Amino acid sequence: MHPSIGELRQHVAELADAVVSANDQLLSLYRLTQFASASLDSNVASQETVEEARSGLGATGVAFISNDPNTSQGHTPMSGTVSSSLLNVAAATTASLPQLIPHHANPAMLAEVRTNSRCYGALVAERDHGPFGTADLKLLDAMASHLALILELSALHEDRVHQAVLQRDYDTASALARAALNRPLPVSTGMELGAASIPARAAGGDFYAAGRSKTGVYVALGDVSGKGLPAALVMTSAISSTHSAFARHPEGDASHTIYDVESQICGYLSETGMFVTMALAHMDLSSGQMEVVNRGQSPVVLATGGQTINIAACGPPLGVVSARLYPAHRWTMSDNDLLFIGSDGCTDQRNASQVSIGESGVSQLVQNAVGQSAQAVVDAVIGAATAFTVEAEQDDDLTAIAIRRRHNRRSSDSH
Amino acid sequence: MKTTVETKLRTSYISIEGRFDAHEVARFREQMDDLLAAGTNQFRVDLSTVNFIDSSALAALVALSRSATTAAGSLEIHNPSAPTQVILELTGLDQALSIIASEESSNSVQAN
Repeated sequence: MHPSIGELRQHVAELADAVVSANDQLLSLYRLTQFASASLDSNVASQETVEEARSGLGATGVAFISNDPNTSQGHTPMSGTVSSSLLNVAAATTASLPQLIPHHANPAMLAEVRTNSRCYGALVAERDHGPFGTADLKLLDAMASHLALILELSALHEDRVHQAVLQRDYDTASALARAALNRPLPVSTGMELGAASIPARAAGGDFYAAGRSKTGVYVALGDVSGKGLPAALVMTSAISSTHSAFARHPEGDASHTIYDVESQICGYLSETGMFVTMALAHMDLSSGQMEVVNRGQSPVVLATGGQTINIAACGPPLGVVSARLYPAHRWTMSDNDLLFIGSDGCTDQRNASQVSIGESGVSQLVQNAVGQSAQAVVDAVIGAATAFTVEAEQDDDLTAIAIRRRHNRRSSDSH
Repeated sequence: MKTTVETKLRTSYISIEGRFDAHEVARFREQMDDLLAAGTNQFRVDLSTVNFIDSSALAALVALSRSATTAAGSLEIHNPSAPTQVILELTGLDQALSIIASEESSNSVQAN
């Protein structure tokens, strides 16, 4: 039986509507490919996308239900009106495929916003006139994929910004370290000094200081806990405090001088939850009397008479407990005896095989270089530590200072 | 680094495994702050399986000790591994922190 003219007209009208609808959807897809968010802020980009999706789908409302609390922050990017019941359905769904939502007051559909690596949430659309079809669902899915790519791009951008901020902090910390250590070492007959510091990319807060007393010379080396800008800021404060303590104790007293340093900075250290390991020494140039207070610094090595002796900690780092006096290790330096103080980067830095030089390795390096100048001993240890880590990133500062007694130098030089 | 936490009343038993360094400290501090906020004031930290510890991590332990004391509690470090024990001694922190060796802690570090 042939259809009637009326029925044929009805079919033609339906086909025309379908063609128009398909054309609209093609246009929407075209607009989607042309659409580029002007912002890399994920909330702004999400809002722009739901606006575009609502227009393309001819929906009453479109919303993006994010599953990332940091991204949504309680705000649901929405265009038009989406019923709260649909938002609840979308938030509770675990569907991974785009789907029409049955038994809802208005025609509604949902598509997951997902890339290969991550699911960001769901895009939902609602319409109060006429049902959604399969083509609408595919269009919503395309828009959800588009949004997922924007969010992925946004996350990558935020990560790069974070890295750039970190890099700026590291650069500032390194500049602070270079500026703070840019003081000439004291020069005097009766002793010889050497020092060096190579900051790591994430500067670790190492520092050294040297200064004259009435009778001799002070040397100190410290290491602020932590890395980066906070450690560098504490380090500059510790250096200033150390130099001012040298000046306030011209009599040459290692115990009271390090106590003075700690008194100046312990309040700040306590507030920031940081501490400073430090060894501070004073050598009397005429008698060779050496005083060393070691507050958790390592390695501290005395090279004397063909052997090396590690000088143990006599108290915890500065800032751990309330400032108090700790007695100094005392001995008389013979001619050519050398005291080497290094930062933990010298001992702990690991090579690609996760092996470190260690305390004994540094002692051996000092022993091997002991016949050379104080600066040569420092350079030998830092050079060995640098070479040791040539295949791995230097993740801690390498800092060292050495003082050698040259009691007979003036008389021998004059001959 | 892997951290496991078991809490009983106001005492938390924390076990740390692997490398405890600057990269892990922020997360560790957050975890401890959460425990403090929830009422924990006794911290028992087992370091027997820590193979590396740096100054940032030591500073975090010192800060935790202070916070626990402020909350009328304490921090005890249990069973430090050999490399950790060396660092604690080299830095003099063995004189400032409460450290309990394996024999002493075998009966007290378990939550049960």
